[in-house]
Amino acid sequence: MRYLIALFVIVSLGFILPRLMPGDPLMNIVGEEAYYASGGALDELRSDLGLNQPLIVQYGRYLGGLLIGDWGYSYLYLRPVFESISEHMGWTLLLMLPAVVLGAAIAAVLGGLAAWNRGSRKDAGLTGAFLLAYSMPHYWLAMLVLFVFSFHLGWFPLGKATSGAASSLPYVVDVGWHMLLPLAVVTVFKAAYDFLIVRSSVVSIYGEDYILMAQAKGLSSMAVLFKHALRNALAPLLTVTAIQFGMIFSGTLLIEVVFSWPGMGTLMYDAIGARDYPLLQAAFLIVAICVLIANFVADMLYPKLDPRTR
Amino acid sequence: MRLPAFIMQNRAAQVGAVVLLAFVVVAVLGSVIAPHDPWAHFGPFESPSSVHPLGTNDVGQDILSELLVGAGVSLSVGALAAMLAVGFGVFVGLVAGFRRGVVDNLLMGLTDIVLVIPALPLVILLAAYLGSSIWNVVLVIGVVFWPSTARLVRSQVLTVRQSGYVESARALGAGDAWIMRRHVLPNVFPLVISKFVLTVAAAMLMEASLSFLGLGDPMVKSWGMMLHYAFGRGGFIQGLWWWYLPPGLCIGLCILALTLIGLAFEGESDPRLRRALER
Amino acid sequence: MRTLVIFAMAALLALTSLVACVEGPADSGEDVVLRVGTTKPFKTDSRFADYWYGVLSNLTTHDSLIKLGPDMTPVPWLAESWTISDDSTEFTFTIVDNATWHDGTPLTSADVAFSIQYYRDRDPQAGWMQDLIESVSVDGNDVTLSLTRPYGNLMTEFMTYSVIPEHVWGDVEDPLTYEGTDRTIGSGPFALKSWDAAAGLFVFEINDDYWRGEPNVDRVEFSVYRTMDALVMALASGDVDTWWDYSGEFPYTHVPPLQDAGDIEFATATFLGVPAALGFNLEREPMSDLSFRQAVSYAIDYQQIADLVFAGYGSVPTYGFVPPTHANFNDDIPQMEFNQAKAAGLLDSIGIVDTDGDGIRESEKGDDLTLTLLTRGDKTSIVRSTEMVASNLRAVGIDSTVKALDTSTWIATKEEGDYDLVFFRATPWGTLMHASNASGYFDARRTGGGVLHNFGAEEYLDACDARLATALPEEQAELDRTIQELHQRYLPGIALVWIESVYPYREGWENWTIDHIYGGVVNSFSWFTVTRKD
Repeated sequence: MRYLIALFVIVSLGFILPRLMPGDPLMNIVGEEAYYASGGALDELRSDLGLNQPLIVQYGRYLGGLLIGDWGYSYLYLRPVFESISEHMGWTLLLMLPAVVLGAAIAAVLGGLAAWNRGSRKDAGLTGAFLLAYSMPHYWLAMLVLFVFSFHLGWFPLGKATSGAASSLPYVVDVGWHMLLPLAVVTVFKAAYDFLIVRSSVVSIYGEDYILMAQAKGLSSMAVLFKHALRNALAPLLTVTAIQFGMIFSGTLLIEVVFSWPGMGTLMYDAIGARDYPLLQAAFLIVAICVLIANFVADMLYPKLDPRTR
Repeated sequence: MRLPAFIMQNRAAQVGAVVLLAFVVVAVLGSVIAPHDPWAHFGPFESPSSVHPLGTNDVGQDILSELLVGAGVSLSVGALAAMLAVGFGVFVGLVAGFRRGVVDNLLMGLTDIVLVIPALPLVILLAAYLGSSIWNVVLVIGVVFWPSTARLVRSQVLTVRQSGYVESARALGAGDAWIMRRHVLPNVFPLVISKFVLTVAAAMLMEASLSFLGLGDPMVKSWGMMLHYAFGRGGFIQGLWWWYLPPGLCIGLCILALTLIGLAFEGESDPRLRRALER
Repeated sequence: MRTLVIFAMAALLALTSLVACVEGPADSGEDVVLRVGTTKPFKTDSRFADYWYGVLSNLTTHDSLIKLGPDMTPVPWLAESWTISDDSTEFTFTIVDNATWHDGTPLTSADVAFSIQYYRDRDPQAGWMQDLIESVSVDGNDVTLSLTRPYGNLMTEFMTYSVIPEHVWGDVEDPLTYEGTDRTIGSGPFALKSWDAAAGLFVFEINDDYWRGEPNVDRVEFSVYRTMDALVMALASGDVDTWWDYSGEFPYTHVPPLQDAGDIEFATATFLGVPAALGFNLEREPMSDLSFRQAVSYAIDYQQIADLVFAGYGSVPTYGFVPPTHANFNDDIPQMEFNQAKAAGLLDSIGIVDTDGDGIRESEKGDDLTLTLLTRGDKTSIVRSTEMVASNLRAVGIDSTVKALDTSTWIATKEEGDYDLVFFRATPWGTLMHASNASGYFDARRTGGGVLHNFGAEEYLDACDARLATALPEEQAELDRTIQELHQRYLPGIALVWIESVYPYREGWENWTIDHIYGGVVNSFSWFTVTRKD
């Protein structure tokens, strides 16, 4: 119930917040120099876009549009909002889904190993490395990576999602090549955060009885780790991963800027600068819904996964 | 206070505390120990030398001085924003936890909503609306970070309220205020400290991100603004590592120190985690 | 663990070698291909909806009636000749008879007349035409415009309006949302082959039947980058050959890595616009006082701004505001003077003195004089200039707070008059708007996002009107000089620096023509002069 009310408020906020910002969307359509107020064409544009109507009417149209799936027309791209968003969303998903999954997987393995060899040099090395990756400003690290691997070494392209190559296989390979660097960077950041969680979870049950039992039964160290100990880390890791899925659309702006990746972060940033109300409303809504669902799922998952509650 | 003893027990927290202390000292003494006035102009784009150990930036300002003075700014922004966020969060969490009912639902609903709004776009939006002064940056970051503290505090309050001591205390006629003082606050305190410390780190990072995007306060020397100019005014492309590496490293080290301390406090409140962080 | 690492490296190696086979834009045969990098925020290939594509299409796929030549005089293009009535209310253009559209249809005077009317009626950017152009008539190859009032500057305005085909746009009610694939059809030297939004790439291919003859370049690719750093890296590593920006200047801070690359050369030209300037809010005190404005002008260290913010490529401007590149530059007007003593003296003389010894002068009301400096947060060179002016002002006892806002908010704040000093820039085209000489920025009757419209002295408005009313070169010259003089006399705004623009390009490309309005080496003229030395 609470979620429904929150949803309604978010829908309304998506309408109100962009309009609170000072600045006229029309300026961005007609360009900086020639924003002549004289001439009916500007007024006509205003009425075409529905900007001259009282806010209540605009609000009504917005709500109505949402219900029938008409998300309006973007001022910035001058095409249906739905098209712009799905395009950008596609690119974000392409980059982020693998990153979240890979990050969690890497963290599970390495975090478990580190915790299992607690106090050893392996542990110190891994924990230290991931702590550093976690702490350094991400966009700064990303810039350095781009500089070294793309500019100086020339192994990767200088950003963007594709070079405009042909179609089918060459295109797929081209996108993959462009994707490698940003994917690697984001995966490392996700993995760093997940690693700390997994490690602390596994360490916390190190001395527990059921672990000793498994070892007494004669299972190898690795088997104990992966079959039993990591189960304990599963709950928090999956919770965090669920939340990361929810945050997929909101957390990537800086990386996208560095790598010129045409995803949702870039879309929202440009939309804010252009005061593109329809685009902002829709993007805001999508992000909010994703996070809501993710939180909901996480709230439900945790009790089910925590072995202690069984 | 158990603090000193606790720090002694946990090596990671020790390291963090030492590093942080060093930065705080620099932050406080920044303008005194800086070799030059960070706003004074010398020759532009100079390489490191004995006069300018970290060289000069695009308009000839001494980078080392900027860095030292920037420590104060970045740490203050982080600390103030975190105080705002955690303070408000604690307040909301306590009220929601104690009052229950409609008030609780309303506050938690509000919390959910703010949590769900994407942080960086919201901050950009607010910065566009309020203008880019450093105080607005603090305010805006505070607005974004209070919900997680509120949630945490509230769940602690609920847990404590249901505990044995509190029930018997209530039976004996104890009021909310007494329960809050004797049971809730002591339990909540380590968690709040941990939250605070981690929020300072997040706030510092948010300020750097905002500055990178050009939404920071250009008349203030923060590490984030230094990076903004280092990237935007050719420092990066010209390979002037003495300009773009130090501010990033400083931010990173501060966040690292704060994270170590924050995680240690988290362990303090959760015995399972405490063992996890011991070496 | 080790196996994991080895596996990962093997996968990486396999992928990179696979890509290497697929890599690269294939230069088929002897095609001359120019790859241009830009950071402008292109979004679509609709010239009405996307401001930047509109500008780009003027250089590539479309033609205008006339163009501004490298020597600042009109060059015939689609209009091979023109006549202007003595009272500057009737303009007649004779259209060439051999121009064709990309789809083969001939371009006629009917298309020209249609275009003008279409812009007037449907293009929000052409609002100024509505109360100026009374009627458009066609007679054979001639198109005649009748104006409601004399407007000598019409020629300049038509340098940036391209002719569009009636058979495409005739039935289109709303040009902004028109999705037809024929919306990119023009008469220009190139046709748009593709626009890839994900790759940020425009590909233009040669129009073999171009009425002026074939251009020297077979294909032009415009590659969009989000940051200047990325673009410069691309330029240095050979991914692009040159750079294009319509109204901006190449950042000097990014020149050294290109010099290091070894195969990049630079063309230079004195920038037609003013990259950093300051305007006064004449509605507020003490800015309304001319002596105060003069004091401010004496307080600023212009040479320092030229040296530090513009890396030595700048020069100290004159009080006339516009640089010598302009026709009819008034060289009698002296250079801006930096003189703190004079500044202090003037401030003392108008009663703005520091009475309480805190280093800041008080206004007549008695409180510390703190000016609000409004500046564009998105342009780092302007922000740095603002920083320097703020410290210059502080040195003569005037305190200030800086508001650095994003473009939309800056415009809104400026329109509300919520500032004391505003920092802006005058684009090349902007300085030619209205009555030329950057009067378009100051004339109080004007409107526009980047325009100050802060100056309403009758003498100034009359001079602007007179300049607009005449098309005779001698009269225009006279009035140009007058307007610049009025800038000196009244100081509605101060130019902070003039610059030598640099335009980088890969060596091997030669004989570029420089176009002052459209930004450097990539322009309509270069297509026919540039050559590639292989």
